Amino acid sequence: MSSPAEIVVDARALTKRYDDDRIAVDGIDFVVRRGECLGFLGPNGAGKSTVMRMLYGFTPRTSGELTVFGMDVARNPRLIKARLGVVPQDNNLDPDNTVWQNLLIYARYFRLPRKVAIERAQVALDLFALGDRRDSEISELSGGMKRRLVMARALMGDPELVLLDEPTTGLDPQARRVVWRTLREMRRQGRTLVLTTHYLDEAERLCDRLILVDHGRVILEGRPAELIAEHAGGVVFEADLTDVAADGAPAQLPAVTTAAMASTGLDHVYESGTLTVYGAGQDPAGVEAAFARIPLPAGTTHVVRRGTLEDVFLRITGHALAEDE
Amino acid sequence: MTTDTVPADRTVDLALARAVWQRNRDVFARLWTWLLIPNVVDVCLSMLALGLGLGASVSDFGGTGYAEFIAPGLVACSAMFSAGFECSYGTYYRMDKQRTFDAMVATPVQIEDVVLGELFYGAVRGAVSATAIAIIFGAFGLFGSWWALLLPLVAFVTAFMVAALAVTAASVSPMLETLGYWVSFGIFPMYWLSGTFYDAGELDGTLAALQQVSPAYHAVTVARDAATSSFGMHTVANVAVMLGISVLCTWSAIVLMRRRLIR
Ligand SMILES: Nc1ncnc2c1ncn2[C@@H]1O[C@H](COP(=O)(O)OP(=O)(O)OP(=O)(O)O)[C@@H](O)[C@H]1O
Ligand SMILES: [Mg+2]
Repeated sequence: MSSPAEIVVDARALTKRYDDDRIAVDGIDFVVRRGECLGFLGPNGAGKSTVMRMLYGFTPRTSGELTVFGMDVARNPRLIKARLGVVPQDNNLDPDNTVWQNLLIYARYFRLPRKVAIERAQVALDLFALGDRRDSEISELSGGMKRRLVMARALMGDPELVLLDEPTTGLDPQARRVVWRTLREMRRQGRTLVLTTHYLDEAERLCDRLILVDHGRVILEGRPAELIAEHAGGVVFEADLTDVAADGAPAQLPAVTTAAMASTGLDHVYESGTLTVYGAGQDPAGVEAAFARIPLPAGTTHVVRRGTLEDVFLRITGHALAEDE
Repeated sequence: MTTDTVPADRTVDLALARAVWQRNRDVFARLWTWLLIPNVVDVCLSMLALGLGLGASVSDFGGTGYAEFIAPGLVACSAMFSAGFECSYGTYYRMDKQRTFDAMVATPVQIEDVVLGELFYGAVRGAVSATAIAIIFGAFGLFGSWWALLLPLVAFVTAFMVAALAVTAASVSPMLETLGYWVSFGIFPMYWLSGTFYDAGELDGTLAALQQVSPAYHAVTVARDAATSSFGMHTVANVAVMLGISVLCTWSAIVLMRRRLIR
C-alpha cells in the first residue's frame, strides 16, 4: 500500500461507562488515517454512536486516550470541532428556521464571514440537490431531505474530518445514491470520513476499512474484500428449509446434514429455516462440488451465491452472541 | 489516563455565545409581534384592573395615585415574566424537544456559550417587553421622573437575573411539564412578594423575610427608585443583590446544564 498517511484519529483503550454502569465502549483501539473512509458496523446498542459522540467531545470518555488531529479531545474541543463536520444519528435541524437560515446560522458557530457562509451554503445545497428547497420550513421537508440537509450543514465548516452516524438510514434507494455520490465527492475533496451504517452494501461500497463492533468491543477489522474472502469465502451456499414439512422449517438441521458438513469442514449457520454454508477456508476449486454433496431434506431449495459482508457480519456476530450466552 | 487527569475545556467564548443569542434573536425578529403582544396586553390588563379599578378605592397611596405606585413594579415584573418563561419553557423546548443545543455543541460552540447566549437572549427579551410597556405607561404620565428612562436598563438586569434562575430550573426539570413548579413556586411567589402592589413595610415576619430574599423585590425597588427619582444607598444595595444573584445563578445554570447534557 501507499506510505502510511497522517493519523487523524487515535483511540487507545477508549472506554465509556454511562452513569447506570452500562459499559457502552469497552477499551477499543483504532486509528483513522487522513483521506480514508472508515466504517463502523455492529448491531443495535453495539456502541457505535457512543464512539462517534466521543470523537467530537460530546460524550466524555471514562478512560483511555483519544486524540483527534493530534489534540486531546477533552482538552481542545473547540480547536478540534472547528475542523469537524458532524452528522448525528438523529436529525437535529432547527425547526424555527428555514433550510437556508439553518445553514447560515450554523455557519456563525464556525465564525464564518457572511459572504463565505452564503457561498458555502449555496454549494452545499446544490451538492445535496436541495437548491429548490432553500426557503422551505424544516417541517415541510421529507425525511430524506432532512437527512441531506443535516449533511449539507455538516459541510459548512469546510471540515477535514466528517463523522456520519447512519447517514442513509431511512432514505429511499435514490436518495441513498445521492448520498453515496456526495460522500465520494467529499473524499475527492480530500476529506476523511468516519461513518456508521447498518447497510452492508453501503459499507462495502464506500469504506476502505471496516471495524465491526459488538458489546463495545472490536470484533473484526479490515478491508471489505479481505474480510469477505477470509470470513465468508468467494461463494456461499444458501438453502431454504421453510417448506420441508407441513409445520414449517425444522427447529434443528437433520443430523445427516450436520454430520456431512462436519466431515468436510464446511462452516455453517442455521437460523429461522435458512441454512448458510460458507466457502471460507475451503479450496475454492472444490467448494461448489462440496456444497452439492450436502444432504438436504426433500423440498429444500438452494442457491450458490457470492459471499458478502452480510455473511461476514451474521457469521461473526452470531458467534459473538453465542459466546456471550 | 482518565478524564480526571484531563481537565475539560470550560472556558466561555463570548463571540460564540453571541452566535447563540443571534440564533434566538433571528427567530424573535421573525415573530416579535406575536411574541410581544400577549406580554403587553397582560400587563395593560393588570394596570386597568388594579390601577384604575382597585386604585379608585385606594386613595392617596404612598403619596401618589395607585396606578403611579404600581407602574414601575409592573414594568420590572413584565421583564421577569418574559425572561422567566422564555428561559424555562423556551430553553427547555430548544434543549430537549428540538435538540438545538446538541446541534450547537457539535460545532466549536460549547455548553458554556450556549447557556450564556440563552441568558443574554432572555435579558434582551425581557428588556424589550418591559420597554414596550414602559413607553405605554409613560405616555399616560404614570412616571414621576425622567429617571424612568433608566427602566429598560433595570429591566435588562432584572431579566438577566430571572433568566439565570429559569435556566437553572430548566436544567433540573425532568420534563417540560414539571416546569410548572418553577412557575408556581418561583415566578408567581416572586411576583406577589415583589412589592409591586403594596408597600414593603406592610409585611412582617416570615413574609417580610421571604420578600427580602425574593429576587424580584430588589428589581421592583430599583425600578420604583428610578421612576420616582428616589435613589439612595439602598438602590446601590439592591442592584448589588441583583448582580450577585445573576452571577450565582449563571454559574449554577452552566454547571447544571453541563451535568444534564454531557453524559
Ligand atoms: N446517554 C446514554 N445514557 C445511558 N446509556 C446510554 C446512553 N447512550 C447510549 N447508551 C447505552 O450504550 C450502549 C451503546 O449505545 P449506542 O447508542 O452507542 O449504540 P449504537 O451502536 O449506536 O446502536 P444503534 O445501532 O442502535 O444506533 C447501549 O447499551 C445504550 O443503551
Ligand atoms: Mg447509533
